Formats: sequence, C-alpha cells, structure tokens
Amino acid sequence: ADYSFKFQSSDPSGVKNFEIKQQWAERVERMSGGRVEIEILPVGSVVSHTETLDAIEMGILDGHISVTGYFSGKDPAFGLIGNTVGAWSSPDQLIDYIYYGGGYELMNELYEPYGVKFVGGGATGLEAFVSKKPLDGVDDLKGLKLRAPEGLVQSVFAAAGASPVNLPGSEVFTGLSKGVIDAADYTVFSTNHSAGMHEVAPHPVYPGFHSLPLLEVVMNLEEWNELPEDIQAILTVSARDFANDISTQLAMADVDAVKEAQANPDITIHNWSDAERKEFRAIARTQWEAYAEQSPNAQKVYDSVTAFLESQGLL
Amino acid sequence: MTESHPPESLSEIDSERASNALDRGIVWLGQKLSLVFALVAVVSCYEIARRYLFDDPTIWVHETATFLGGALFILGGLYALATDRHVRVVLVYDAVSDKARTALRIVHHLFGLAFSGMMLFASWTMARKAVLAPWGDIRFETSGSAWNPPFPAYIKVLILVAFVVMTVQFILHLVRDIRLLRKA
Amino acid sequence: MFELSSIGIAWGSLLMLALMIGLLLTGMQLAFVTGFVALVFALGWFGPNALGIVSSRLYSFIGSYVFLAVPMFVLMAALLDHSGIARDLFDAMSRLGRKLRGGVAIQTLVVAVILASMSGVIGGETVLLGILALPQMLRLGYDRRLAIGTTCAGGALGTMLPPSIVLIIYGLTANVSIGELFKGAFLPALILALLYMGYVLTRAHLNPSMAPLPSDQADEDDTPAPNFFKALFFPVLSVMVVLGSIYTGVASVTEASALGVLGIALSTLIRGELNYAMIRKACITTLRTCGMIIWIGIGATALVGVYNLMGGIEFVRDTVFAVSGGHGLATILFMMLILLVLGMFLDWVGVALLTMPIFVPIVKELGYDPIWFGVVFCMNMQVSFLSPPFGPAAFYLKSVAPKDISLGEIFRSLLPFIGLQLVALALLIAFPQLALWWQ
Ligand code: NA
Ligand code: NA
Repeated sequence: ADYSFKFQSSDPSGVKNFEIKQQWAERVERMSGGRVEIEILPVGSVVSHTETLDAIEMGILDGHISVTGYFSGKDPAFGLIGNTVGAWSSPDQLIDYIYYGGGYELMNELYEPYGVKFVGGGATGLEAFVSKKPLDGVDDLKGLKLRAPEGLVQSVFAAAGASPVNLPGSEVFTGLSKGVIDAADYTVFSTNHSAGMHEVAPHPVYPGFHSLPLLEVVMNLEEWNELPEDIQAILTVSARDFANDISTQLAMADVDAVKEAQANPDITIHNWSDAERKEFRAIARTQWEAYAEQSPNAQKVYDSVTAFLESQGLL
Repeated sequence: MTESHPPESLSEIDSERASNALDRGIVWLGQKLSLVFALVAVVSCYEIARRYLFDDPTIWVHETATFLGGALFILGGLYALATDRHVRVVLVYDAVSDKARTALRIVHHLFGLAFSGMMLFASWTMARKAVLAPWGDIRFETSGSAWNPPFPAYIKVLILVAFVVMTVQFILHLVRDIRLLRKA
Repeated sequence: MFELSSIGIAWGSLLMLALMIGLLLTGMQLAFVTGFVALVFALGWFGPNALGIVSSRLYSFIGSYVFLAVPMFVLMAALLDHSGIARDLFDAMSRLGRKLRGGVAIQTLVVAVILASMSGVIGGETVLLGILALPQMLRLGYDRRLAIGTTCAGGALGTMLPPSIVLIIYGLTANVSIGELFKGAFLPALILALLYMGYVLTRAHLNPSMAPLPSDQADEDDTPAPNFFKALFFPVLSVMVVLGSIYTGVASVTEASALGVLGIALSTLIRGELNYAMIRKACITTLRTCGMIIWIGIGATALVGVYNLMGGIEFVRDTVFAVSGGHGLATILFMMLILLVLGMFLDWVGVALLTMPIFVPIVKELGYDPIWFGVVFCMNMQVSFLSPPFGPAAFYLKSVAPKDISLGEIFRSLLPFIGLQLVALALLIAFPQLALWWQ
C-alpha cells in the first residue's frame, strides 16, 4: 500500500460499532485498489479516548473515528456541536446538517488550527438511556445521579435537576450495580443490552430522548494534504456512506434487542410521550445559549445550527 | 506499635534517606501533602452522605477526588525516588561489591536521566497544548463536565513540573555517586 | 537517524524483551525500566513526536477514578497497623484458631476472600494484607515462604471475585454480559481459594514447625487472654460497614474504601488511639506506597501503548493463526501459552489490551462460550500477578514488606501458588461447566 494509516476507534473491539468501522476501512482499501490501508485500533490501545485529538496533531495517530464531544474540554464548541441535545430527532437530520447545512465546512474550520482534517461524520444512532429507576418524564430526572460523557449533555441534565458525573465507560456497569449512579447515557440499545446493562438497570428509556452524538472520521491535516485528489475523494465519499451505514445497521440491531428485552419480564422499556420529550428539549435549548457564550467558536456553532434548524422548520 | 517497626518514626527514616536538599524538600513537602489522602477520604464520605441522607448528590466530589489522587500519585513517584524506595530486582545488585553497586547506580542514574529528559520533552508538548489554544491564546483545558474545572490543564502542568524536578534529582544523584566512586 | 522499525515487529518484540530483562537485572528501578524502554522504542520506531504516547498515557493513568481505591485501601491498612487494632485482631484470630495448625494463614485467606468480594483492585488488597497479615504471621512464627505466598496469592484474588475490573474490561471488550461473567467466575474463584487453603493445611500438617500453634510457645500461660470484644468489635464493624455499603448498593468500591477509612478512624477514636501523629504516619505510608505502585503501572501502560502502535496487535494475531492452524483445542492452549508468557512481562491491562481484541473473535468463531473464556482469561491474569519477572502482586508486597524480605524471596515463595493457579486453570479448561453450571 502507498499509504498505511492507523485510526483509533472510540469503541472496544468486540462491539458492533467497531466492526462497522472496520468494514469502512476495508471498503477504502478496495476502492483505492489497495493503495490505502487503514488499521482500526480499539479504544485506549495507543492513547485514551480524550487524548486522540492531540495524538493526531502530533502525528502519533493518523486519525480517529470517535465522538466530537470528547474534546469539549479543549473548546466548548466541540461540546455544543458534538451533541446538540434537543436539536436532532433522528440521525438523518444530523447527517443533513453536516453534509448539506454547513456542518462540514464549520467542522473543518474548527479543526484546522489543530492540524486536523474533518473527513466526514454522522451519528452512531439514536442513543438509549440506561436507568435503574422508572423514568417517564422530565420530573423524574430531579435528583437523579447519572453518568454522562463530556459536553453539553452534562449541562442539560444538570439544568433538568439531575446530577451528572464523568465516569469512564468501564465504570458504568459497577456504578449502576453499586448505586453510585442511577442511570447512564451510555450507548445504543443493542450494545447496552448485550453488555448486560439492563440486568442491573432494568428501566431503559427507548428511543432515547437525550442525546445524539456526532461521530466523526478525522485525520492529520498534513497527511491529508499530501494525498492525491482521487484518494481524498474516496475517503470523503466513503465516510459519508459510513455515516449512513452505521446509523442504519445499529438501528436494525436495536430492533432485535428491543424485542428480546420486551420478552424479558424483568425489563421494562419506557417510552417518553411527545409532551415530555418537548419539555426536555426546551430545557436543552436554554443550555445552547449558555454554551454559546463560552467561546467564540461555540457561538459560531450555535449560529450555524440554529440557522439550519430554522431553514428546515425544525425550531 | 512494636516489633514490626523500628522505634524511630517512619517519617524520620524517610528524611534520613534523602541525600540532598532537593530530596529533603520533596520529603518535607510530601509528608505535608500526604494528609490530602485523608481529605480525599473525607470528601468521598461527604458525597455518600449528601447522596443518601439529603438525596442531593454533588457534581464536584468525583472530579476533585480523582484530581487530588492523581496529583499525589505524581508526587509519590518523586518521593519514592528521593528516598530510594522504588522497587528493584536485586538479584545481581545485592550480590556485587559496594564499588560495583555504585557503578551500577551510576548507570541507573544515566538511564533515569534519559528517561526523565525524554519525558520532559513529551510533557512540555502536552502541557503547552493544555494551556494554550492552537491560535496562541491562553485557555486552560477543562474536563468538559457540567462543573467543567480546569483539572486536565493543572495535572498536565504538574506532570511537566514533576519531570523538571525528577531530572534535577537524577543529576544530583549522579553527581553524588560519581564522587562516591572516585573516593572508593 | 537509524530507523528502529526496519528490524520488523518480530525482532522488535524480542529486542524489547531483552532490553527490559537486561535493565531489570542491573537492579534499575522497575518503574523507570518499563518507562525507559517504552520511550526508547517510541523514539527509535516513530521519532520524537511519539514520545507523547508516554506522557499521554501517564496523564490518563493517574486520572483514573478506579485507582483512587488503592490509596484508600492503603490508608485503611496503615491506620489499622499504626493503631493497635491489627495486632489485637491477629492475636484474637490466633487464639480462635489455636486448635488448627495453620489457622492464622487460613484466616488470612478468608480475609482475602472477603476483601476480594469487596474490591477488584489487587494493588490495594495485596498491600493491605502485606501491612496487616504478613508481619503478624511472621511474629507468630509462621514459615516465611508460606506466609509470604499466602499473603500475595490471597491479595491477588480480588479480580477473581466480583467486582472485578478484569472481568468488566473483558465484558466491555467482548460485549458479553458482565453480570454473567461475575456468576461464571464465582466457583473457579472459590476453587482457587480452597486450593490455597488445602495447600497451607497440608504443608502445616506435614511439617508442624511451619505453622506453630500458640501452645507451642512456652510463655503461652503468661500472656493474658486478649480482650476479644475490644479486638474484634471495631474492625469487624468496619468491615461490615464497607461490605454492607457495597452490597446494599450505597457506594462504589472507591467510596466504600473511603468509608472504611472513616470507620477505622472512628474505631481508633473509640479505642483512644486516634491522634494527629498516627494519621500523619498513615498518610505518609500511603503516599510512599502509592508512589511505588502507581509508577510501576505508569511504565507498564506506556509500554503497551507504544507496542500497540508498533503493530503488536497484528503481530500476535498472525502468530496465533500461523501456529495453531485453526484447530480448536490447540488454539486455546496456544492462547494460554501466549497469555502466560505475556503475563510474565506485562501488567494485566497491557495483556488485555493486546490480546482480547484478537482472542475473543477467534474463540467465538471456534464455537467456545465467550463467558467461559472470560473466566479463563481472568484465571490467567491471576497467574500473571504472581509470575516473575514482572509480577505486580510481588512488587506491591515488596513495597510494604519488612526490609529483610527480598523480591527474590517473594518470587520463590510464590512458585507453589503459581502451580496451584495452573491446576485451577487446567481444571477450568478441562471442565468448562465449572464456569457455566448456572446456565
Ligand atoms: Na473482587
Ligand atoms: Na507476571
């Protein structure tokens, strides 16, 4: 291969997300006639999930397929665009924004100073919420101790009266079973289910109301600039396909897992009413503005996302 | 208590094991700051109380406790170096003559110096990224949580400081043992 | 500049091992050996920017919430030790077990199992037993090697019983139920503990001088009977608080251990022993011990990051396929060999990061139960904690053991216990039902 790259994933190797990422890498190799070889490394294999951006800038990793919100400690803009809680009701809307609503250009503008190229992105899928306590609406969130990843989603839960904490993914299971947390924003329903989360927290909320994180494919900007145009195009187009591929595959896996959970008398799936979902979104939107004030880039994200939502009649 | 410990207090032994002013300073500071471990225990219990007695969990205890623990782990490494307590495989080390052991120690200091020198370079880059935005403004990297404290920046700067200190420690130990070898 | 990467991953792996063993043998501090090797390979293989892997992993490692349980356990142990509680406790235990030769070692193992069911961080447990049980067994005249082996092997049990960080990481990597892994590991963990106990009793029976009874000591009649209430009430209460808070779901392991610290501190207050000097001493012990333990971990985690980037994951995968040729049992046995060898040189996080992504899909494809393999993996990690030259449990014990106990003596003491672990491992492979009977 003329180019061989190492991309670190935000998932461990056994889960479906990781497989889908590997399938993308294989497609890139075939489409490029073997000129590009990408190895997908499991989460934490070279550096931890919050440090991949620095590692790409330094040329340690060539790229990552990870969640933008992990970098909100560097700039709140990443927190806001990484999971604009309350903005998107399906992965498709986020994908539309990224590719046709100005998101792509904005992401590249945000990452350029870090020496990083935003190749493409979409959503992992509609997240589900893991909970030990029955949650049927916003009022049930009061005093709820929950795990949420870095970024806007934490502030939104705090504004809704819950107490969010940062816990690494490996701590979620014990945290739930030991009562350190009552609930967790972890990942999609199917993955939560096979990791046994619903055995210790039998009140999942599905479809999730809370979160739709931006999943991104990025790589080192210098390396990107040295690539011939056809390979750049292969990467861009295949990343756009990957965005649809992952949300579709996961949504279908969710359907199977939901059936399995429904058949289990110990698990109760909670589905929020439209009124409750609307109320949560209203709380979320108050936080967008608070976040936008935290940095000039966050303001740019706010302006861009709200302009898109307005143009589509989604606000 | 008794047989399992020598009569003098452990802290005195540690300060005796420090061979220069810097090491003694680290021991002094370490002994003062080690009390923060007790503080970590207290705030963790406070969190449990808030959660169960008042149904009002905090958003700051987890992050604060982890930050304090991390800072002390770093300091603990310097402390163990200052008091020569890092674990060694002494199969050969204990079997050779005093002079050869001093020579071995000089080799260790040289490798140690290479270690801390390389770490100094690496942690300088890391700390710079944590304190400066790519466009040059000062902005401390934060945890990204709802509370959002700048602990990542603090820890990364602390790591840099630790390797500055460690480099000097290795140089001082090197000078000490070279002198010792000359005398022998 | 010379490109180290031109030698290829196979020679690179060997060179890495050779450099590590060579430096270890000179007596260089472990924490710096692994870190130094990681840096040399990062620099030589990739160039100066890759040095950032090591600083980045150092940062992530010390900022991990789970490790906070380690200082809390050490602090608890140091408080028990610096007050009179530990001594009273073991005197009382020795009395209670005075009819049974080897009784105190058995009781130590029972305590170890209880600790193991509370926490899943071996550093804390080994250090706790090393501070509490080891000096007391030595004081009571137990054979040194038997006492050291019991302490170390017992302290390592933590990851066999829930909560266990090894099983959690396995569950997340393999995407199998963590709860089922916990169920699966339960019986094998008990078998392992029973093997240890059987060994202690047999040795003590064959050679009574290895485990003297209190009645063997001439001055037995002179010592007043210990005050059982005073000796046992508070420590037992504290243990109950810790255990209770974990099992009723009140607190995480880290928080429960903090609760334990408070409980012990209150016990010393009630006994009239609490003072500033004691707290200060206990805190200093904690700082010193954590400095040693955590820094060994830092070097090891750095090494793994660099090795993974060098292509370690692919290298191991190719080796497995090349050697076993896809034959079921042969593949499993070869994997065991790899795990045992890697366990000699890396800490378990490294082994897990390196091998799980490769092994789990193969195991599933061959039709084996991934839950069973998780338990097998966990048993392998038990061996890795004890096996020289890189045996974390031995290092942890060394960091608190009496000065005259050398690392060499610790490793020699551990050999029979490693043998017992291999017996348990063989049983588990021969009879997978041991991990799957509840299904
Ligand atoms: Na455990
Ligand atoms: Na080992």
